[in-house]
Amino acid sequence: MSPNLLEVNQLATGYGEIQVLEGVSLHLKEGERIGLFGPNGHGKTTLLRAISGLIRPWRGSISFKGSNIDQMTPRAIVDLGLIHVSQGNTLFPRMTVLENLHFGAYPKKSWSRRSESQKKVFDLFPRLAERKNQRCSTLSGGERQMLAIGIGLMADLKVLMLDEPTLGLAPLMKEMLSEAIARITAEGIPLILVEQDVEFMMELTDRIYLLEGGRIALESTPDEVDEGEILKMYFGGGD
Amino acid sequence: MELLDLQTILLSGLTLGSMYALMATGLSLVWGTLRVFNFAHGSLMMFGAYLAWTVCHSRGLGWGLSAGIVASLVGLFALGILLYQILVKPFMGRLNLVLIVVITTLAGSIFIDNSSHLIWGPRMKRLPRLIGGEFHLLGTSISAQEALVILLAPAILILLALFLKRSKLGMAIRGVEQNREASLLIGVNVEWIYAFTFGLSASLAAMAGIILGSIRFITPTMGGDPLTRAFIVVILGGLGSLYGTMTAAYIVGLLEATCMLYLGIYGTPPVLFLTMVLVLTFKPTGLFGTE
Repeated sequence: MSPNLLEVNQLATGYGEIQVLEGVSLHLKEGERIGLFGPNGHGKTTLLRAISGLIRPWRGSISFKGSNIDQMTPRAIVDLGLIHVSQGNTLFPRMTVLENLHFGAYPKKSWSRRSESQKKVFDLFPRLAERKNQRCSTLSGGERQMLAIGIGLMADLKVLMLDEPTLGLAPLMKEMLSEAIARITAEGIPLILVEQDVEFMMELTDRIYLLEGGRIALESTPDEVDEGEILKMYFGGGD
Repeated sequence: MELLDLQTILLSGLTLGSMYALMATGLSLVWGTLRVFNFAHGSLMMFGAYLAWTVCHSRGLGWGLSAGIVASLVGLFALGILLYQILVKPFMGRLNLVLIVVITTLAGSIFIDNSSHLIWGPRMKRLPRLIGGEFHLLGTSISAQEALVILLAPAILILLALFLKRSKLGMAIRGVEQNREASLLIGVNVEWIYAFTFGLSASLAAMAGIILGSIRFITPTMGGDPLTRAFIVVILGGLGSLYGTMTAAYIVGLLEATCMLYLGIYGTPPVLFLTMVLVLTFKPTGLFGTE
C-alpha cells in the first residue's frame, strides 16, 4: 500500500492533437504541501485538469489513496474530496456571494454542513462576509479569488488544488491570500499549489516541482533550491 | 382608435403573450443551459396538446381534462429527455453543436409532426375548456378560459422563477448556465442537468399547447407559427435573460394583436420580424440581453 495520498505516474496527455504533458510523475503525502511552478503553457493547468477529471490521460496513471482515479468523472473526483480551484473564471457571475458559496456545497455530504462551512469561510475571509448578498460580478479581483477559494472550501475537502491564485493580484492582496492559505493548510489539508509567483509558492510549500516542456525538470524543497536559478529560467539567463 | 379596439387588442395580446411566454421560456432555458436551439419545440407543443386530448377525450381514453393535463406534462417531460438523448447528447462537445442540433431537431420535428398526423388524422380537435362561460370586463366580453390563461401563464412562470431561484436543482441549472466548467468542479452532474432542463422545457411547451388547444384548435401543424414567434421573442428579449424573454413575450403578443386587427394575417409576421431587426440594429443583444 502506497504511503502517498495522491500519485501521478508518467502522465501524458493533451488537447485534441496537441500533446502537453510528456510523462509527468509526482506525489503528495498526507498533510503535505507541494508547489508546481514553471513557464506558462508548459502544462501546469493541464496537470490539474487531468487530476480533477476534466481531461483524460493518454498514458500513465493517477491514483488517490491507492486506487486509480484517471477514468473517473469530475463529479466522482469531487466526491472523493479532491477539489480543484481553477485559474481565472471560476465564479457564477449572476449569483450572490452567498449563493456561490452554497453552490460550492452542492454534493450531498457537503450540503448538510453548508452553514458551518460558510461560517468558516467568512471567518477566513471577512471581506466576503461583508459582501455576502452582492452579486459576485461586483467584486474586486482579490475578492473574487477569495470567493473562488471559499467555494472550494465548502466541499468535503481532502486535497486542495489551487491554480495560480495570485494571478493579477496586488502585493497586499497576495499577502492576505498567503496568510489565508497558510491557515487552511495549518489544519492539515494537503495542498497542491500551482504558481507563477515563486516567492509566494515557496512560503507555503514543503516540496516543489518545476514543470517545463511537459516534464518535471526539477524536484526540490524551498530551502534547497536556488532562487537565482529559477529567476534565470523565467527571464532567460542565457548560456 | 376605438375603445373597443383597444380592449380587444389588450385581451388578445395578453392571451397570446401568455402563450408565447410559456413557449419562449422553454426555448430560453434550453439555450441558456445547453447552448442549443431546439427546433422541435413547436412539435413538442403540438404533441403535448394531442396527448392531453387523447387522455381526456371520450374518443381517446376519456379520463377527463385534469388527467389529460397531467399526462401531457409528464409525458412531454419524458419525451423531452428522450429527444435530448437522441438528438443532442451524441453531439455534445462538437465544434458546430448549434448547427448540428438545428438539423437534428428539425429532423425530429418532421418526424413528430408526421407521426402525429398519422396517429390523429388531419381533422381539427379541441380540448375542453377548464372554465366555461363568459363575463364582461372593460365593456367587452371575454371567455373565462381566456381570462384563466392570462392569469395562469404568469403564475406558472413565477413558480418556475421561484424554482430556479430557491431550489437546489434550480440553482444547479442556473449554475450550469452561468459557468459549466465551474459546475463540473463543484460536483454537479451536468449531463443530468442537461436532460432535466430539456424535459422541463418540453413540459412548458406542452402547457402552451394545452392552452392553445383549448382556446383555438389542435392540428398537426399548430406548432409552426408559435415556434417562429417564440424565436422572435427569445431573440428580441435577449439571450441569457429569462425575465427579458417573459417581457418580450407580452410585447410580441400585444404587437401581434395590434397588427392582426389592422393588417391582418399576412401583414403581421413582417411587422414582427421588422421589429426584431430594428431592435437588434440598435441593441444587438436584445432588449435585456447579456450576450
